Amino acid sequence: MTHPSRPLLRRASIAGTVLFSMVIGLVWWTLAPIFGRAEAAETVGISKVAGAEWRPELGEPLFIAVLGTDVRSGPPGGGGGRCDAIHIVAINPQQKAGTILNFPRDSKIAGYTKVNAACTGGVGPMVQALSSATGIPIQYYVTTEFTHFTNLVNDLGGVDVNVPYNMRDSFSGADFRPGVIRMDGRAALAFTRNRHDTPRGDFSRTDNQGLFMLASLAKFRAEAADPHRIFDYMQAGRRHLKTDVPINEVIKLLLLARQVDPAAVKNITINGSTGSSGGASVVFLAPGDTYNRVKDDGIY
Amino acid sequence: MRQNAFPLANNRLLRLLPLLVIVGLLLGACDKVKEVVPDAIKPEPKLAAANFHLGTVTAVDPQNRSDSAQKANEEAAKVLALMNAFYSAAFLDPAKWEGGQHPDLAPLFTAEAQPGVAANLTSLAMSDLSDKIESVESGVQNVDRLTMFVDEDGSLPVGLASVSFEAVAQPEDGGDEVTIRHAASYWLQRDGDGYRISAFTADLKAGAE
Repeated sequence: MTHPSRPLLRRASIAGTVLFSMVIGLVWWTLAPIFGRAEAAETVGISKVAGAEWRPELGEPLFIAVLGTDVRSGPPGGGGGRCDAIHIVAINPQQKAGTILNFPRDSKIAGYTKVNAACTGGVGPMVQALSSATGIPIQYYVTTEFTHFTNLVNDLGGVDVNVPYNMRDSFSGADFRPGVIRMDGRAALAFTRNRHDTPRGDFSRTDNQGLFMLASLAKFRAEAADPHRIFDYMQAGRRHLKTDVPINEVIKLLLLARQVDPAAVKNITINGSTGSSGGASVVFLAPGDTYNRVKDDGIY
Repeated sequence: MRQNAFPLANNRLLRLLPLLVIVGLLLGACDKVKEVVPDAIKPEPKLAAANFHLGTVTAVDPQNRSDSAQKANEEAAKVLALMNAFYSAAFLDPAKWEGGQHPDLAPLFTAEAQPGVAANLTSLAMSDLSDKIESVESGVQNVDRLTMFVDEDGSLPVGLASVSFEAVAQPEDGGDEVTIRHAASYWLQRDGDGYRISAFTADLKAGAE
């Protein structure tokens, strides 16, 4: 005899089982994170690429007197000669740009009939003369003479220079055709001394000295891609230049120079005209607003 | 009278069903159970040692003095000590990461260079990875190339160290181990009896390989 409530019991049992299973499932799902269930999700791998280049900033614009004496052989900056290369190199570290100001050696400025005579008293009087004539605050100087300049270029393996026109001058030994030439020390000295076979005499000579400096900057940038090569320049500089730039500032300048495009440096020769003063052949400068344009930020 | 074809089986199944469900759920969860170990009893991460090795040392002396190379090698020991201190704080010792701030790094730089540390921490150290990494073991620690300048007075005021560093890191989440490669060049400036870093370039790569 069938119990009258058995079908009902069966349905209740099934329903209870389903309900019980759902409860168990809900409890399990809730507690799953404790058992690391959530970590069954796929983790995102760690991946990173980062790079940096940092050097100390030089801050304010720098102005450096770059001088070459006509002493044939002696310690760089040893005095006793006249300066045939007279320049103010202006550097704006923030803009990674600058200006080279070129002065004819016979410039009648700062109380000198010919300013190149200021070097006979040492570098100091020349720096003072340039600063007072231009209003530009010159912080440092760099100087050399003939033999050391020649050896400097040779130590560094020569410099590629784009010669702007034909040169053939027996006084300096310059003998060049237009175009890029790898100049050793002897050729570099001839190129930077030549004033007799140039369009504008001493104006052209000082302009070409600026060109040579820019060519040297280009060489340095290319070679200093390996930063250990910077030490070759420091060694050559210590041997053949005299400067009052402290060693730690030298490092800062060289690290900056790696980032300065020569095209961002203007080569400016101060305008003027030749004449006579007290029987001496001199140059009367006509700088216009050149000094004012450069003295604050180093940019022409 | 309707007959149940499987009366006995149905009854047994019905009775066993809840048990089967529970067993099935538990079996399904078992392989996902992870032992949760309180931090208090976790073993300390193995501390990797900083032990840089020296490659090429070059003395650059404008006067070509005979003792310059020896002087440069003597100074090289100080550079190694500097690199050990740097990489310990930057990568090897989790206790020094301090939430990615690496406070022990800045004193290794000149006063002038210290702002550069904070600004470039992601390239110099574990930094933003520090909360994702549990431990580090290093296999490559080299000062590949060291150049020291010998000045006129015989002192060695500046130098340049090019460094390569490689390590394997274990992530906190148990994921795939991470290979860390760091290549850098550090300009060195004499400070007292030792050196500090005055300028740098650094490249960092981290990822599973």
